[in-house]
Amino acid sequence: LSIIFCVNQVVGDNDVQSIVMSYLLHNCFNETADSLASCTGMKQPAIDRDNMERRKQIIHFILERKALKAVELTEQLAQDLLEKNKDLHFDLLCLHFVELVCVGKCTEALEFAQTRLAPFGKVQKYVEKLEDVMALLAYEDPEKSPMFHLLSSEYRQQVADNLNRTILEHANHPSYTPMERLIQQMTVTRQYLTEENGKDAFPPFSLKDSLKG
Amino acid sequence: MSSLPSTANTDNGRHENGETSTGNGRDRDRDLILHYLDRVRLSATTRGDSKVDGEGEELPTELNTINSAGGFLIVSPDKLSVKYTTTNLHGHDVGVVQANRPAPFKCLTYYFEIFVKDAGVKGQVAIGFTKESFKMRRQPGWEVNSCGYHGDDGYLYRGKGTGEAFGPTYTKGDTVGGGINYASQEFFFTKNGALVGKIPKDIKGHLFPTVAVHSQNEEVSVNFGKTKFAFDVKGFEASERNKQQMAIEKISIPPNMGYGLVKTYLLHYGYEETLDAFDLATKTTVPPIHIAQENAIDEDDSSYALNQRKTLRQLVRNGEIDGALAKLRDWYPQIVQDDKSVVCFLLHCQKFIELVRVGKLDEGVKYGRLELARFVGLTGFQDIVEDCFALLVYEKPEESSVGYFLEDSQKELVADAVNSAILSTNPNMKDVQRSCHLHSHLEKLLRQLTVCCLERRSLNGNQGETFRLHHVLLNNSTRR
Repeated sequence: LSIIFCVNQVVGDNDVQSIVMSYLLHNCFNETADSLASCTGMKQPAIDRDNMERRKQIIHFILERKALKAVELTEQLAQDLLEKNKDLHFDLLCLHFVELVCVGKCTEALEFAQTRLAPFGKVQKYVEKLEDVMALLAYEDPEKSPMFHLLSSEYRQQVADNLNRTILEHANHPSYTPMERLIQQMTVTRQYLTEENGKDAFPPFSLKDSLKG
Repeated sequence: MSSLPSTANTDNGRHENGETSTGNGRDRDRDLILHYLDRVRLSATTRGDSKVDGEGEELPTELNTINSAGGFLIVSPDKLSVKYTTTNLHGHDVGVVQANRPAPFKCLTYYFEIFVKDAGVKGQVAIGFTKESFKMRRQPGWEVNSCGYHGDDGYLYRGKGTGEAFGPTYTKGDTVGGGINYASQEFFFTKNGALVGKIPKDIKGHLFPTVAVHSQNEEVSVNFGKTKFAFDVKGFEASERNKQQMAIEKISIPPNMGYGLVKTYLLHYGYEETLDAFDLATKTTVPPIHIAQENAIDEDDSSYALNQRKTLRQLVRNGEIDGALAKLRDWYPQIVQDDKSVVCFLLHCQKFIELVRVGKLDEGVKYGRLELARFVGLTGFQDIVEDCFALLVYEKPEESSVGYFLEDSQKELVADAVNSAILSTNPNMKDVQRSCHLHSHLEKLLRQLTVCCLERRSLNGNQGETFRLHHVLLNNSTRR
C-alpha cells in the first residue's frame, strides 16, 4: 500500500474541516464559523454557545483595554475561577493598572495598586512583576520605558488567550485546540525520529521551514 | 532503509524518484490526475468497512501443544495449564510451551499472566517471550532472541545462560505477568499486580508468549486475557499514553500559527465570504504586524483568483455544471481546452451524476456517451466511468455501493479539483512549491505528521499503534 494512499486515508477532508472549525469556535469567531459551515455544508459541532458568547465579550474587553470589565464578567461567569487562578487574576489587574497609567490617571493608578495589587506583593513570585509594573509610574512616556511590552497589543492578546483557555478548562472543555495539539505532535514526532535515528537521516526540524512549499 | 525522502515535503514521494522537480504544467497536470482520481477511489473504499492496515490481528488464546517440549510435560485439556512430569536432570530438558499465536503488535502493548499452581521440587518456573524457532528444551532467555523472567532466582535472562538480577523470586500462589510495550520497545514484567521492571526489547519480529517448567511437579496455569489480570494493564497503557501526551503538551506553539493556517486554508479553497468574516473578526485580535513575524506562514499568492475560485466552487456545489464549464471556458480556457484533462473528466462525470440524481436517465446515458465515452480505454479513468454508469441500474442509487457519487463530498471533490487547476495557472507559483495547488498549508502539515508517524512506526518494525487523525480529534473533544 503506497504511503501516499495511506496518508490520503488518514487525512480526510472532514477531519481537516473540523480542525479549522474547532479553531474558530475556540477563539470565538462565531460568524466566521457560521460562514464556513454554510460554504462547505459541514455541520457545526454542538458547543456551549452561551459560554462562547461570554468568552468573546471577555476577550474583547481585554483587547479594548477594559481589563476590569473582563474581570467582572469572568466573575459572573464563574465565581471561583480567578481565586483558583491567582497568576491570571494578577495579570488582569496589572493590565488595568497599565491602562490607567497610559491615559495619565496616575493617582488613580497608584490607589488601585495600593489596594488591589499590593496584596499580591506578599507572595514572592509576584514581586518582580509588581515592581516592573509600578516602575511605569516613573516614566512620562511609558512607551519609552523598558517595560513597554506590557503596553503592547501582543501582551493583551496573550493574557486574553490565557483567560480564554482557563475559562474553557474551568468548564471542563479542552483548553487547547486539536490544531495546536497536532502542531505540537508534529514537532515531538520529528524530535523522536532524529533522536532514534540520528541527524543524518532526520535533520533537526523547523516547523516554519516545513511549511514553505 | 527508509523509503521516504526525509526532507520536508514528502508529499510527492511517489513521483519524485530520481526526477528533478521542474514544476512545469505537465507535472502539475499529472499531480492533479493522480491526486483527484485517487480521492474518487478513496470514496469508494471508505464506503465499506476498510481500515488503514489490517488491524485484524489474531490473539494468542491457548498453549500450543504441537511444538511443546513433549515428554517432559503435560498440557491440560483446556490448553491453559502445564505440568512438568519427570525429574529434571540437566539444562536441556526444560518443559517449554509457547502460545498458539504470536503477540499482536499493532497496538500499544501486549500482556499475559501465569499463575504458579505448584512450585514443585525446585521452583524453576519461567515466563517470557521467544521466537518461533526457539529450542523447546531450554528456558526462555537462555537462548539468543528470547527473554525470560525466572522464578527461582528472580533474574532476567536475555540471550545467554547468565542472567541479571531483575526482581523478586516467585513461587506457588504468585501471579506473574509478562508484557511488551511497543511504544518504548521494552519488555516488562509484573508480580501479583505490581510492576517489577522493564528492559529494552532488542528482538525483532514475531514473539510468542512463553511459559516454562523445569522440576518435578511444577505446574503453572496461563491467562491470555480470558479472565481479569492481576495487573492493571489498561492503567499502565493509560499512563504510557499520558507520558507521550505530556511530551507533546510541553512544546511551545508559535504564536499566530493557528491564525496563519486557518487564513491560508480559507484562501486556498476560495472561501471568500468566510475569509471576509475572518478578516473582520481578527482585525482587532491578531496583532497587525503578524505578517512580518518569524513564524508567519507565507500567504504569498494564495489569494490568486480568489473571487473566481469562489464563484466556480459555488456553481459546482449547486450542481450547475454547464455554468461552471462556461465560466472556465471564459476565464481559464487552458484548463478545459484539453477535453481529456482530469478537470473536464470530473466535471462531465458530475453533470452525468446530476442528471441521474433527478431521474433523467435517458438524458444521462446520452450525455455519458457523448462526453465520458472518450475516457474509456484511458487507464485510471475507465474504472470510474464504469462505476458512474453503474448508477443507472439501481432504483435507489444513493443506497448502492456507488452511492458515494451522489453525496456532497463528491461535489466538494470536483470543486477542489477545479480550484487546484486554477491555482496551478498562477504564473507566480514558484517551482519549488510543487503541490501548492493541491493542499493548503494545514493539510501539508497534517500529511507530514502522518508520514512521520508512519515512518517512525515502520522503523520500529511496524509495531505500535498507528496514527489516526480522527482519533486524535475525538480524544481532544473529551479530554480536559
